[in-house]
Amino acid sequence: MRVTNQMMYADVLANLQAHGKKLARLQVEAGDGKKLHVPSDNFVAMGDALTLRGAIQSNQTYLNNISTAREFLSASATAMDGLATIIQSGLAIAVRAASDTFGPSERDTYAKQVDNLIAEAFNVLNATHREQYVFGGFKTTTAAFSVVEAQKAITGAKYNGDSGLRKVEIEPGQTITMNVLLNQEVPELKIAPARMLSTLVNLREALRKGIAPDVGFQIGELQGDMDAMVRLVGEAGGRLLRLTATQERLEKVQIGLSNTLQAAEDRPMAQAVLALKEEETVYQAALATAGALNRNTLFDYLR
Amino acid sequence: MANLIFGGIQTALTALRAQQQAQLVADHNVANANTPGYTRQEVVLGTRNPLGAVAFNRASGGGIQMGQGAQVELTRRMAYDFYDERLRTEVSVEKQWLERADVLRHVEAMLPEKDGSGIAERLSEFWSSWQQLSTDSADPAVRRSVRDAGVRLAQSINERADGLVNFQRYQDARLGRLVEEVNQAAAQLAKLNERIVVALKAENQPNDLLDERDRLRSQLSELAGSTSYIQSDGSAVVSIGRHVLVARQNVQLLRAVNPAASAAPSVPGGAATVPAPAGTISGHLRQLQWEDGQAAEVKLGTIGGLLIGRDTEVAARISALERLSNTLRNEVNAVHKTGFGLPPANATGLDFFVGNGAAQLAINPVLEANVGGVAAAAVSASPGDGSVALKISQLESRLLMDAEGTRVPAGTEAVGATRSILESWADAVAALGADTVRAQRELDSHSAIVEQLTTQRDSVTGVSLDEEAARVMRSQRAYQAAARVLTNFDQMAEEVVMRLGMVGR
Repeated sequence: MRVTNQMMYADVLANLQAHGKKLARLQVEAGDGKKLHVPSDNFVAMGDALTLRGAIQSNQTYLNNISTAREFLSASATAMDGLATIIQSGLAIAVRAASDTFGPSERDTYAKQVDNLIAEAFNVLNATHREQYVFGGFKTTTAAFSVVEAQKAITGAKYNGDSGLRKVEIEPGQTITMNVLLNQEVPELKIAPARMLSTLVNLREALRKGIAPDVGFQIGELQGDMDAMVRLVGEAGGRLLRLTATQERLEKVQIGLSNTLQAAEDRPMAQAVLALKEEETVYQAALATAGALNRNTLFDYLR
Repeated sequence: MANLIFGGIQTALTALRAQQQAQLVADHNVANANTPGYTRQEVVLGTRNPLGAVAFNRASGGGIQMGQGAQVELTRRMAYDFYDERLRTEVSVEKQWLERADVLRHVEAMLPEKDGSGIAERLSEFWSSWQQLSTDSADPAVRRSVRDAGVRLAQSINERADGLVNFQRYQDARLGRLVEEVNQAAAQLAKLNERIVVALKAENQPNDLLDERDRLRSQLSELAGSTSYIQSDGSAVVSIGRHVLVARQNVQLLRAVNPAASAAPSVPGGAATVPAPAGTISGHLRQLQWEDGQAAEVKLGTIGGLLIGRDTEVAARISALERLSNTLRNEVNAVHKTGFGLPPANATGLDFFVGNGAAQLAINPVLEANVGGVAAAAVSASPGDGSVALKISQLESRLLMDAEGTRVPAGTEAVGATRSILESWADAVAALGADTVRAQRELDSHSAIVEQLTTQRDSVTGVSLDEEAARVMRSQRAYQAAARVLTNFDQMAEEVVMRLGMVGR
C-alpha cells in the first residue's frame, strides 16, 4: 500500500484526538471524583443513581418524620406524666381527707390544695409543643380545654378540640399516630383520662361540703383516672419504642443506600489519578510520534 | 546525413518537452499535496509515431522505421471510483450519526442530573416538603417550604422545556442554512457539469474540474446523503431520496418551508413527522420541500441527522417533560382540591399547579401569595390535620405510569402501572443516556469505516512527497540525458557545417 503524507498526518491527528478525549475525561473525573456526569457516561448507573437519590431523600424524610413524631409524643407523654402526678397528689389528699379526724378548716385547706391542682391540671391539659396544643386533635392552634367557671371557681372543662388523629408516615405505607386524645375513653376502662379534672372538681366540692363518703368515692374515681392515664402513657411509650426501632433500621438503610450511590457515581481518587497518569504517558508518546513526522522528505536530499 | 542529424535533434527535443511536462505534473501534485479532494495525477509517456525511412526500403516492402522520440500520451488522474462512492455513502451515514450524537450531547447538557442538580432532586424535595407539612400543617414556615419546593420544581421543568424548545428553534434556523449550502453546491455542480462536458467533447483532460466535481458530490452526500452517478458525457447526476437534485446543468432547489406554507404532507423520516407535544413549537418547525412542491425525504447526511435530532430526539425529551409535568399537575391537583387550607379562610377546591405544558407549569398564584391556602387538611378548620398533605406526599411512591412513561388510565394502576413519577423520569434520563451511547457507538463505528476507506482511497489518490521527489529526479535525469543527446547532435552538425570541405585549406 502506498503511504502518503496526508495518511500519516491523519493517523497521528486521529490518535491525538482519541487520546486527548480520554485525557480530558480522566481530568474531569480526577477533578471532582465522580464518574457520572451525564447520562451517557453510564445510563444504567445514572438511572439507578436518580432513584437511589430519591430513596435516600425519602428515607431522610421518614427519619425527619420520626424525629418530629418522637418530639411530639415525648411532649405529650411528659404532659401526661404531669397529669398523673396531679392525680397522684389528689389521691393523697383524698386519702388523708377521707379520715374523720380532720375538722372543717383542714378540709377547707385540702379543698384549696385541690383547687390549685385543678388550675395546674388545666395548664397541663393545654400543653403545647412548638406552638401546637398537643391534646386538641387537629385543632392545634386553639387551647384544647377551656375553663367552665361558676362563682369564680372552676367547675368543669370544655373540650375545644376534635377527635383528629395526626398520622405521620414513618416508612412507605406505614403511619403512626403522633398525638394523644385525652377526652376519648380508654376502651378497657370506659374512662376518658380528661375526666380527672371533673373528678378533682368533685373532690374539691366534697371536701368543701365535708362529706366524707363522697370524698371516699372520689378516691376510687381518681384511681380509675390514674389507670386510664397510665394506660395512655404506656401506649405512647409503646409508640415511642416503635419509632426508635424504625429510626434505627432506617438509619442503617440510609447508610446502605448512600454506599450504593457512592459506588454508582463516585470514582476512587487513587484510581482516577493513576488512570490519568497512564493516559498522560500515552498522550506524550502520541505527541512524540507527531513530532517525528516533521522529518525531511526526499526533496531535502536531492541536489 | 543532415536529415539524421536534425532528426536526432528533433527527437531529443521531444524528450526534453515530455520530461518538462512530467516535471510540471509532479510540481502540480506537490502543490496540491494538502488540497482537499485533490486526486494525484501521473504522466503517461509514449513513443511518437515512427517515420519510415524510404531510402532504405527493400523491394519486399519491409524496412526500418525511424523513432521520432517521446510524447506525453495522457495525464492520468489516479481516481478510484469504487472507494470514492463507498466513501461518500459511508460519510453520509457518519454525518447523520455525528449530528444525532451532537444533538443528544446538547440535550444531555440541557437536562443535568449530576449531583442532585436536576429534576429528580427537585421532585424529591417537593414530596419531602409535603411530608413535612403532614407533620406540622399549621406552621407557616413549613407551608412556605412547600410553596418554595413547588416553585423550584416548576421552574426547573420550565427551564428545561424552554431550553429544548429553543434548541429546536436553533436547529430549525440551522436547517435553513444547510439547505442554502446544498443549493449553492448543487448550482456549482451544474455549472461544472457543463464545463466538463465541453472539455471532454474537445478531448481535453479536465482533471482538476473532475476533482472539483467529485468534491461537490462528496459535499452534497455529507450534507444531505445524496447519491450520484456519472453519465457517459462526464456530467454528474445527483439525487436525494428519489428526487433528482442536479442533472447536467439543471438544478431542482430544496426549500425549508413553514408547515402553513407547505401544501405537501410530511413523509416518514423527513421533516416534522413527530406530532407536536402540547406547549412546544414542534408543530411549527420547517419542513423540507422541493422546488416543484413535492415533500423532500432526507434521511442521511447532516440534514438527515438534524431532522431526526430535531423531530425525534429533542421532541422525545420534550414529550417526556410534558408527561412528567402533566402527570404531576393532574395528580397533585386532584388530591389538593379535596383539602382545606388554614382557618379562617379554609380555602378549598384550589389547584396547586396551574399552566398547560412543561413550559408553563407554575404554582397557583393564589397559593403563591398566601400559603395559608395550601390544602393540608381533609376537614375544614383543622389546622393540625395533615392528612391531605400526607396523601400528596404519598404520590411519590405511587405507581402511576407504564414502562413507556405514560400515565395509565385512572383506575387501572394496579394492573397497568409499573413506575412512579420519579422512576419514570429516571427512565427517561436513562433512555437519553442509552440513545446518546448508541449514537456515539454508531458514530465511532462509521467513523472507523470512513477512516479506513479514506486511508484506502488516499493510498491510491493521495500525493506522496517522496514519490513526487523521485519522479522529479527521474524526469530531471532524463531531461539532462536528452539535453546531452541534443548537444551530441549539435556537435555532429557543427562537424558538418564547420569542418566539411575544409580538407587542403
